Amino acid sequence: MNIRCVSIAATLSARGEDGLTDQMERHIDGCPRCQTDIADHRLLQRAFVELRQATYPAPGEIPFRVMDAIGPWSVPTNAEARDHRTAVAAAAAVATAAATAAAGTAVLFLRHRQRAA
Amino acid sequence: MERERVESQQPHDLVDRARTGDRDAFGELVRIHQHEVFTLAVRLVRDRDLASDVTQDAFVRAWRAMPQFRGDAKFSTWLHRITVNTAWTHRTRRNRVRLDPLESLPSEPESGAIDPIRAGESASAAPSIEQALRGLSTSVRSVVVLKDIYDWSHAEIAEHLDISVTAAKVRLHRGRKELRQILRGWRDGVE
Repeated sequence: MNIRCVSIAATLSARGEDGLTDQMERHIDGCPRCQTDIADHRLLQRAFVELRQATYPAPGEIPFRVMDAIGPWSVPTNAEARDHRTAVAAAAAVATAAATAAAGTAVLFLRHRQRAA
Repeated sequence: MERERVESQQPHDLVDRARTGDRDAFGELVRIHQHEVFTLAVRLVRDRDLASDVTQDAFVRAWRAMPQFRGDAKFSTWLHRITVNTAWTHRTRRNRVRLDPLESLPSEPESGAIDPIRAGESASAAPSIEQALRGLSTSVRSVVVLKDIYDWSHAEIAEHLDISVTAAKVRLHRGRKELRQILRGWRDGVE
């Protein structure tokens, strides 16, 4: 590997084939090592293009995890109001209020009875 | 019925609706883009569990930022940027924890099995390159992935990885060189 081979390998890594000068291309024509470098470079570029289309399947729970993390009240909109989770939450709030009111009434009733006694 | 209506929407309609806070539309965008976001996360962090966390967090960040998405870039490009920033945040947090990343990687991308490349074969080298990428250091691999697979500019890479443009170029140069050496090593091993 001479200095020109090193220079060509560096050019390929930094700028690809567009960076090669006419002088470099003439060298490559007669240099098996540089031809191998060019072939590897092209193989890498083809593989990168293919990898743009390749995907790892995401774990199946990802959409559920995301929607759970977002929660039903993150951005209050009309759409949110239709969300069934909002409806469930509203029902829970009503139930909590009713329970609180019932407990309050019971306390008042007991105090009233104590005073009466 | 509502779900059928959501699924029949075109992606840009979904983005418009998600920007106004429509959870159903955003949920559909999650389903559409989850694999590409997860794939980018895996390529950046090399760990399946961490990539799952990055994917979830990236979508949550995207949801919060949806009102600011103006459509200057494609939604997927915008999502990729968020994913890179999220991956970087998670990676920094997890740096204290020792991982054995190769043990926890997904076995293979959907495009095919991972086998070492064989000299002279015309079959796709993509799975082999994916495997070779895992052998690069995180700082070098991230630049190669973003430049050569996702076609980011050096300036974008520098901005999102918080490095200089010169550093991005140097890492790309080093990464490509190392990949060629890995390829050569495999070929020499087969011959």
